[in-house]
This record gives sequence, C-alpha cells and structure tokens, in this order.
Amino acid sequence: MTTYLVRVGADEIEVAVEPVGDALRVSVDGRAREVDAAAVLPGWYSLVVDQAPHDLGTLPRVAAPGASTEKAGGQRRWTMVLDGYTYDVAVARGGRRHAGPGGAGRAAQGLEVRAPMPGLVVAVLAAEGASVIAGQSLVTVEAMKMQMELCAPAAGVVRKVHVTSGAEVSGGQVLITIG
Amino acid sequence: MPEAEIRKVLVANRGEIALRVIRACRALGLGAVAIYSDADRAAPHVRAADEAYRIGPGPAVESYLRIPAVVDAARRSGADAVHPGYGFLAENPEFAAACAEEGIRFIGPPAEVLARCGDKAETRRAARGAGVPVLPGTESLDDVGAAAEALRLGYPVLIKAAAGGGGKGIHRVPRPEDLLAALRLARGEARASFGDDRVYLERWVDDPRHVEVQIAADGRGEIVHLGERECSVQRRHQKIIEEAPSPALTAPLRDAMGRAAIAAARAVGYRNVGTVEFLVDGDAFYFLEINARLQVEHPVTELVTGVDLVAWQIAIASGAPLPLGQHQIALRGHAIECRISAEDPSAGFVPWAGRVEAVVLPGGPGIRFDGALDPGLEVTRFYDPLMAKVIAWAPTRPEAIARMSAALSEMIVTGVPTTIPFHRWALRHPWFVDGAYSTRFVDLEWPRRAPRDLPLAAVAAAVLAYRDDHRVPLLPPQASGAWKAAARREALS
Repeated sequence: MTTYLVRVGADEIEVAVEPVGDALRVSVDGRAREVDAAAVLPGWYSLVVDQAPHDLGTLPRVAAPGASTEKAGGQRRWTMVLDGYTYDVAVARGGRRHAGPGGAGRAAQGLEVRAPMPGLVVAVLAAEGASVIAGQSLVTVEAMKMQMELCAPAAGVVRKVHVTSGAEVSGGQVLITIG
Repeated sequence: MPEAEIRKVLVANRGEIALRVIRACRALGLGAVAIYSDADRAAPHVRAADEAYRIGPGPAVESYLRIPAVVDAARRSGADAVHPGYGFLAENPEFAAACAEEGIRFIGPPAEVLARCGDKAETRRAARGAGVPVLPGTESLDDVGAAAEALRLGYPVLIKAAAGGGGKGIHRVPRPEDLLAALRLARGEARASFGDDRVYLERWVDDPRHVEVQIAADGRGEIVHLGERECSVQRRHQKIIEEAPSPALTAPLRDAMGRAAIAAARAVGYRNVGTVEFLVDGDAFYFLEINARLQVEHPVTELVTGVDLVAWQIAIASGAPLPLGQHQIALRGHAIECRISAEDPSAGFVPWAGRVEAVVLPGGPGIRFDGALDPGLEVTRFYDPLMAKVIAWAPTRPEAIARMSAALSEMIVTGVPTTIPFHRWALRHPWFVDGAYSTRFVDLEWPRRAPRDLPLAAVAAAVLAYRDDHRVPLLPPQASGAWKAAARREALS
C-alpha cells in the first residue's frame, strides 16, 4: 500500500492506494473505491471509479517562469480537469506527518495577487505601503482583448508591487503582495 | 460597383472562420489566399489556402488589424475580392473603403453602411424611425452625461460600446456608486477592441432573451430574412450556445420580428448578409443593433435553411441578385451550435493560453464541425480563444440535443481547458431541455451545478502519483495487467 497526502486548495486529504487484481483500491477517509485507470491520449485518462466512468485531463501547470513545477519539495503538482472542474493539486508521498512545509510558509509571505492568465498589465491601481480593503481593485490586466480588475482578496497593506503598467506577465505570476 | 466575376478571394482572418471561408471558395471553385501573423505561421488556415502571405507580428494591431498590410497582400496575390470573416477588420469602414480604392471587392456591406451600423446609437435612431421598437437609451456620452442619464433611465443600467460587438465593452451597473468604475472598464475594453472608447447607456431588462434574425440584401432593394437564432446562452455577455429556430418564438412573433429585421435593414440601406439583433421580453421585442458581418453562429441558420451564407455573401458582392426569394426560404428541423473555446469554465470562463496536445473530433449523422483545431495548436493571448464550433442538426429539437450530447461526449481536447464540460452540463439542464431560458441562465445556474467532489479529485491525483511512482505505463496495450505488474514491483521494493 502507498499513502499520499493530496492537497486541493486549502484541503489536505490522505489517500491510500493498493493494487487489487487488475484495478486499484483507493481509500479516502475510510471509504474504499475500486479504480481502473487507462491512458487514452497524452494528458487524458479514463478512470472507472466504482463502475462510473470519469474523464481526467491534466494541464500544463500555470506557474511563474523559472519556478520548478514538478516534484517541488518532494511534491508533485498537477492541474487536473475532472467532471467540469479544474483542480490544482499537490501530492506528497506518505501521510500527514510527511507533509511538506509549502502550505505553512505561505501565510508568512502574505497574500499574493497573481495573474490568472498571461497578459498585459494595463494599470496598477495601488502603491506600495497603501492600505487596501477586501475587494479593492489593485491591478487591471488585459488578455485576449478583455480587461479584468484583480482585487484584494483581504484587507491589508500593499507590501510589494512586482509589476509596472505595460508589463507582460505570465499566468500565475505574482503581481502584488499584501501583508 | 458593376457586376463582375470573383475568381480569387483573400481571407482577411484566421482560425475557424478563415477555414470556413476557404471551404466556401473551394466549393465555388475560387482561389483562396490566406494571411498570417508570426504567431499563426503553422496555423490550419495557412496550410489550407492556395497562397499565404505573412502580414506582421503576433499582436493583432500589428497584423490582422493593419489595413495597409492586408490590402498589400491582396494586391500582391492578385485577389479580386477580400472576405473579412468576423472580428478584426470585418466591420471597419476604412478597410472596406481601402479595398474599394484598390478595385478589390469587399465581401460585406459597403463602407458607408458599415459606418452607419458601426454607430450603434445611429442605427437605433434609424430603426426607430422605421417603426421598429427600441429600448429606452442614450446617444454616446461622456462620464458626466452618463451619470445624469443613468439616473433618468434608472438602475441597474447597461453600458455599451458605441463601436461595440462581441460582448466587449458591455457592463451592467447595479448602483450609482459603481458607474465610474464600470465606465472606465467599458471604455478601456472598447478602446482596446475597437480603437474607439465611446459608450452609451441602455435600459436594463431583467430576464430577456437574445434573439437575432439573419437577413440578406442584394443592394437592389430585395431583402429577405432567413429565420432567427436563439442566442441567450451567454457568459461574459458573449454567446456560447446558439440554436435555430428559437424555442421561445410563436409563429406570429417570428413573422413580426422577420418583418422588423427587414425594415431595420432597409432603414440603413443594408447590403450583403447581416444580422439584426433583438432583445425579447415575453411577447415584446426590441431592436438592439445590426451586425454588419457574418456571425460566428451562422452555421445553425445554414443547417435549417440549406443556404451557404458565405456563398451568398460572395454572390451579392459580385453584384448578383439574391439566390432565393422570401417565399423560397423554408426552415427545416432544428440546429444547435456549441462553441469550443480554450477557457476554464470552472474559473469564471477565464481564457487560457497554451498548446493543444491531442484532439479527438466528434462525428455521426447531422454533426458538422467548423474548427481550426489540431494537436500542437498554440492558443495565444493575441486572439480570441474560440477554437471550434460543433453544430448538430436533427428533425426535432430533442433529437438535435441528443446528437449534440453524443458528439460532445466523443470529443476530447487536451492541453488546454475547454468549454466542453460546460456544454455537457447545459444540454442536460432542465431549463435548456425545456427551451425556457434567458440570458441570465449561465450566471444563475452554472454556479449551482453539482459541487466539486474533493475526495474524487484526491483519488484521481493519487492515481496519477501512483502511476508515476510505480512507472505504470497505462497506455494500451501495455495497460492490460499493468496494475498487477505494479503490485509485483511494489511487493519487491
């Protein structure tokens, strides 16, 4: 049996996997499911979970350039498409005691406002040191002719503005840090 | 311009619509010329054409929107006509005029008609003058005027780009304190999309349907309509599913809207193929605007009328009369179109840039695929994320829905997220199945779909990790017994 700690957003879920016959028995929170998995195409899998078929896609990770996306800190990360939802998952081998420090470190660094996609910074609407309220517009980005205002996820002080107006940014790139 | 045969067409566009026009040229025995930006060097439309001309770097303003470069390519290729597709220069009067000056036919309305239709406020005025009902609204105005007029119209109010189209620059303003920020966004989008930041206001209708009528005018006084398209399934004010006929229209309403569309087209002196957009509120309908171009969703009309609208555009541009009279146009069966875009429906339909890895296309009776979608396709942030359209036809609406559902369950696109999961959800939704939906359908119901299944996601992620750890190939034919082999390896390790 192999145990994994899967992080999906803020949730951490322990999963145990063991082969049984031609399939896998995958247990989450004491509930076991029979899973038969097959690769259909590169980046596309068919999972039959307790006789129910699901399509599973994997997408290239959205990340800042230079960032190591695979196996960072002993974790593997995927962006998965499953039943109409997109999930960013990080998987570490072992149970909870093996959990990497990735999640804990994040709070100390402050909240990060990231570009949701590659695009162009049209306007920076907040300066370093400014106090902002939750929902306040911080940056306007443009991609595919659409403009989007990125807002503060919570109240705080703008610690760092990483971009200037007119900058090209990649998907996932940190634009503003709020402390 | 006098009647003259068209022999070679430059297609001033990219993506699926460029392929669509190239196919029409093939069907008519005409030469087809492609243009491409650096970002599109390997794109399907370039490979499909007889000749291809590079016109500039990736950003549209430096390539597909650069009139001198496009006209120069047309001149060099010896094309006697230009088809603009939709978007880019399709409704740009300067482009139509520049083509005319070179003696190249513009396959679309003449420059002066484009200019008239491009000013949404002027078209509204013309339609009202012709007895066509319009919504209460304003002319183009500045921010100070907008504040006063918005109060007069009442909140919520809708901001629209005067040069608008494609949902860009449209913003609903719920309260007076939101007006300035919304005006800033709308003007920014309008400037980026159309190079024109004028906006106007229109009364907000709570639960409307968006229904448009396809028209064709030969410029000799003959105007026909080819039925309507129901376009109420929208996200970000952009259509995502369209169908013909509309499940909401009664025969008398259809007839009244058809006549109103012809009256509006006549009022602006329309010529060539176009679309008159209406907002439908119960039994009432209001003129919105005239789209002086071929629409993305034109295939649903083609499937229920049997008309090749691009062939009609070319015929009209060459000076020929309309191929059919109104009494010869009959609607048969039902057609639905689903737009396949590189977007993440689970994250607010945010457009996605990336590389398409693998593609499995749908098929079967009544399925039409219009797309420029190949493995290796780069979806860039320079252009619209629309990659393809799946269109289903059947004798009845329920059969068309069933065919579309089957087609979408066959279709696979990997490497980028797509709107396919959204469509599969929508086609099963009771409101869609009953045909009882408005433009608020997606905003109201999509967030209420089945919630994320975190345990299942964890199962899937763990299976991916397990496959990695135990080097299970998963790919047939090795897949057979792969887990057993993995178990043996695990036992040994």
